[in-house]
Amino acid sequence: MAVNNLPLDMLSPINNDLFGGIRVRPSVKFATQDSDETIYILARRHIITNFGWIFNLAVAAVLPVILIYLLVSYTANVGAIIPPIYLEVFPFLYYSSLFTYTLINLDDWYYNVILVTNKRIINYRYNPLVTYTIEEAELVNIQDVSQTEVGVIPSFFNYGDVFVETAGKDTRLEFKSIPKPTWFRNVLAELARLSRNSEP
Amino acid sequence: MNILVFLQNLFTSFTGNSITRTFYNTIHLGLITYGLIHLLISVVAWRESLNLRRQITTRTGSILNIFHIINVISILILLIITIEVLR
Repeated sequence: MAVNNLPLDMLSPINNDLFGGIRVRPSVKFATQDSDETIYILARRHIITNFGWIFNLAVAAVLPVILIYLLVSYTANVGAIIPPIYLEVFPFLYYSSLFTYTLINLDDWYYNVILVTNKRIINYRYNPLVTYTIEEAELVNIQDVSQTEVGVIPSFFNYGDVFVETAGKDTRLEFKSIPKPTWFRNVLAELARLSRNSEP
Repeated sequence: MNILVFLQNLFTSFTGNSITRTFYNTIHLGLITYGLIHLLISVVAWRESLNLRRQITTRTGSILNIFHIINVISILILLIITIEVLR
């Protein structure tokens, strides 16, 4: 069932990108990895999907500076409006919250991972502080792979959603905002075909 | 104006503190509660990060986890300083 004779040229068109959106043959281990299991692809959401929270972070980081600047510009004595004791404490608490926000969002991006091995696909779906789900499907059970790209930004940056239908009830894996979805879909379909052919 | 003074006196007679004092006490309590909730969220995020790193072992995951630990320790120190400063 394992696809050990994967044509190398199938993986070669993709270079490992700088931000790890797609990594081919990554040096990664996972908890339930078998001794004879090789990871072919590690995929995450496209790096551009982080733009939203980074923008929020940037706005939140400069907001207090702007507020203080406006207060100093229009008021002679800031200390009369905000007691100095709060000016000592609040910035540290505030920027510390922003740091936590950054770490949680980095985790959200970093640990929402899809692993394609020579035996199966594993989808790690992580929703920070709420849920953590792991789905997996044997390559041999893959029946249909499809992709969608909706909107201007996904088309421009070449990322989209890939859906995998597998045998059995309620088995549809969704991979969101995958870079190079056409290549990814093609590899999955090819691996499924090779896996079926290698069955005794 | 007399009504305002009356209300202030009424408030003071009930609570034993002036409105201004009560206002600042409420803000102090709010800041400390905020710090405690922040600490709780950070600890949960750190634990989650640790569990995720056990699922998928990478070097970047270890670095992220170290940042989480630094974050939790810094919030703890900050909370202690905040309580001391506001006391």
